[in-house]
Amino acid sequence: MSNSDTQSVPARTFNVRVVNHTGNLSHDTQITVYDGRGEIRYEALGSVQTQLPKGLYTVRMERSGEMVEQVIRHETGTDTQIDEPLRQSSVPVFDTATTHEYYAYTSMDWSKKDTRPPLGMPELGTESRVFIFLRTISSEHYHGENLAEDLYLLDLNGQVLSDFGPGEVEHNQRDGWLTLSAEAQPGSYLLRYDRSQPREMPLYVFRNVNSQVFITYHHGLRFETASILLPYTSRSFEPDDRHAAAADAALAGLQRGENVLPREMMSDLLAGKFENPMLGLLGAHFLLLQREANPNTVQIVLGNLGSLIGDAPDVQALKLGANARFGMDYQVPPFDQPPMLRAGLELVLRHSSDDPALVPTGSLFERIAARYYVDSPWSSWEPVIRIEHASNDNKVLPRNTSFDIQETESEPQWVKAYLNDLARGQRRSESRRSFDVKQVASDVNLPVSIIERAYAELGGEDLWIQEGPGGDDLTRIGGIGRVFEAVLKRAGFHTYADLAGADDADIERIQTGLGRFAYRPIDEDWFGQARRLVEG
Amino acid sequence: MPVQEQDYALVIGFNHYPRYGKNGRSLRGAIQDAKEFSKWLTDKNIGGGLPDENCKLIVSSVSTVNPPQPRKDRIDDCLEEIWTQAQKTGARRFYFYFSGHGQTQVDQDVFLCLPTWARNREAAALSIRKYQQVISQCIPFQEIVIFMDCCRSLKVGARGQESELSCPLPHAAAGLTAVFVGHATEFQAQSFESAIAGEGDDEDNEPIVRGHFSEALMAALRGAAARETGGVPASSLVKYLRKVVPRIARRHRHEQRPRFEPFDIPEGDPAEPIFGAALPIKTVDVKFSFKASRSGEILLEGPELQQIRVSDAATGPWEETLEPGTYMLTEKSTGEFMSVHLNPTEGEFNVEF
Repeated sequence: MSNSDTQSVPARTFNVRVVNHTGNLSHDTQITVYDGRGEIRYEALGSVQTQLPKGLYTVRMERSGEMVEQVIRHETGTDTQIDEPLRQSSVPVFDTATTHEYYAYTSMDWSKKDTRPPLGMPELGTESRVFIFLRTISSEHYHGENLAEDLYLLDLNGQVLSDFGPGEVEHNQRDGWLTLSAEAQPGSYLLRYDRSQPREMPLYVFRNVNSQVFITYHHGLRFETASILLPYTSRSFEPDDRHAAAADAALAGLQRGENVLPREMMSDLLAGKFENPMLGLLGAHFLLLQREANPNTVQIVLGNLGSLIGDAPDVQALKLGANARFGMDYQVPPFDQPPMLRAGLELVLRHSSDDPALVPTGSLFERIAARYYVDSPWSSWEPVIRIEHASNDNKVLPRNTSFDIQETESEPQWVKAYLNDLARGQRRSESRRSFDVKQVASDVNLPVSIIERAYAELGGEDLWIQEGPGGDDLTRIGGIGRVFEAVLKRAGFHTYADLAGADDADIERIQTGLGRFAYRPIDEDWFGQARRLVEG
Repeated sequence: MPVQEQDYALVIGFNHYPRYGKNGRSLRGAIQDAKEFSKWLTDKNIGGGLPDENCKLIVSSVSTVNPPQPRKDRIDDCLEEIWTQAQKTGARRFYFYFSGHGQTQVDQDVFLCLPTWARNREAAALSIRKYQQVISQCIPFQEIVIFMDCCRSLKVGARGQESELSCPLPHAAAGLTAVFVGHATEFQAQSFESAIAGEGDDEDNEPIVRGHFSEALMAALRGAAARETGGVPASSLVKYLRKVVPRIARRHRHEQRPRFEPFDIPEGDPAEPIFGAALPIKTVDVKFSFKASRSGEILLEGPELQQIRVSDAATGPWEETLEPGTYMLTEKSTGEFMSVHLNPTEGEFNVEF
């Protein structure tokens, strides 16, 4: 039977619904229906209701980066329900392939119970919590390791608030999970992991909010799989909470630059009807990414976020984005600490070259700006502080031991390599561009101060006067020695041709650079000599 | 297929990355993929129809005495040769193909890593956007077609270099150049390679490894995405790759979805660029074999549920010549069934039920 023959075959009802674990329509599943010849017959979100002739149809379902296909034998009519593709996640919500009841219900149970005394001094009359849940992929993947080995919770002064030791955590050695759950003083914390690829990530605790962190352990803690939820403390973690699932899925979407928030939740967001600050943060980032976002909507979302989590760095970063995108005039103070979401961190860095005060020199943010990882939607970075262990044979720090916070010895290699490349390119170029710190900072999305320091570490202006391929030996010109050659190259005159083509303004600039020897270029005819060298 | 005197190509395949990561991270199929694409480009019957000298193939190599090759200069030299030659013949279409490691920082660019790439040589990469810019501004090609079978992993500090070639002014029609870009994967995602069917039967008895994207691309260009009158319209190519690349990836337990920046020309428009002259593949040869546990009648149904064959399992294996499409095998006694997508590709399918 050929393709054309199928057109004469009567069509039959073809209804397919893709549903989530609660049996509700999966609005965020993209469906594509291919006929038996591989042609696309239908595309929709969540469900298909159409008429198709009998045949074999392949229903492709895509959701949160996962794709599954199912072939349907469509004969007398099709009315079927298919489970949505399951995502992978550290969060044990029921719409993922990596959720197991022994993680889901455990999280629900412990998210409201204390495993240790409060962290800091919780505010009277409010309840703020930290809940950190470490888990393996499944109990079969657990082989008796201490999941929290080399993991620390710090305050911003480097003070160890917890080393996840006995008496602070609940550790299940049968199913492979470990949790720390406690009341906490609102404020800024750092989670620090000190294994083969050390990392830090910020953790903010807000008034009446439970900051819930989920991380998977697989040959070590995988910080890139971390997920953070921010529900009210009045509620425990709920494995079937659609807001938690949506926020978690949206995080993965943000990493890919793709808005996967279900439509109805996006509508709630636009109307300012959200109570989950993480959903608000994610929604606001998606709004800023949209081509035709409505500034009033952004204002509503930011206003609501402000009332939920105050002036958190993540909210301030979004205000910065709104100022740039819509010309709004939010007053945004300097950022001492980076936002939790990497999208926010990058927003701030993007604007810091125009407004260096945004990232104060010496702040935690400035120190991590060139060291952050990009494999996760969360801000996380190569640690900038060195741990001084209590003794060489005791890797676990005693309580309340402070880290020795040190300025890092130098700027990261990649920043210096970039500047070296830039200098090499300019030395080779016939054009004479000056080193524009601000422009370079903008090009690489870093604070100006970091570029300045890396530049200084490389020897400052000497960087531009090294002999490069294409740079000429100016000492062949009578009267020019190594010192004058350096002055000339610093001024951008690298080749004989540069000197031969010098105009009056150039000559004046060279003379100024030579100070009391300003007379020598003319007296010794440097420009004429250069012309003759060019002409061979 | 007439010889396309005004078409040119730069085809790059890098397997060797001895300094990529702590112990190097070499690829196995990139060179072969590049060679296959190059072979299609210079095929005068169904392929791109390029004169052999118009297709520059650059592959990686390592030796104990030299640093990994090639360096960036080699690529610029080839591009300059193309530029010089195109000034004489005229310039219609330029193909750029890359298979190797890739990184990114922004979704508009990909940094194509050179074999010398190392942690302390993060600039040993080509910026595809900067190269595209030079090509479109300096060489008056009407169309630029870019395929990149490489990761688009995000990396802080990653960067790509521009070409050393430049021109003082863009050519008169620079703004009119039509550009098509095919990415093997989504922004911030990986692309993969795997041993394919036929493993172990090449002359060295080494597995034949192909990039998922390149495997589908070559099948498409050889006829799987061809129109009735011959040739593969750009829109058909996109549809085919969107359909098949995730399936190939899935078969190897990978997740990979290609992304495209297609020509700004509607599907079916007479001006839509056509690749090559391959005719659609109308039939595929399939061998159905049955597990020992199968018994009784086996039913084979076609794309429109037409009955193809009903026979006892003992009559297997069945050798059939079928139209490409979706087929279903059912064991009548148990109702157990299996579906199979027969893509219109060359070679024999082996299906075990």
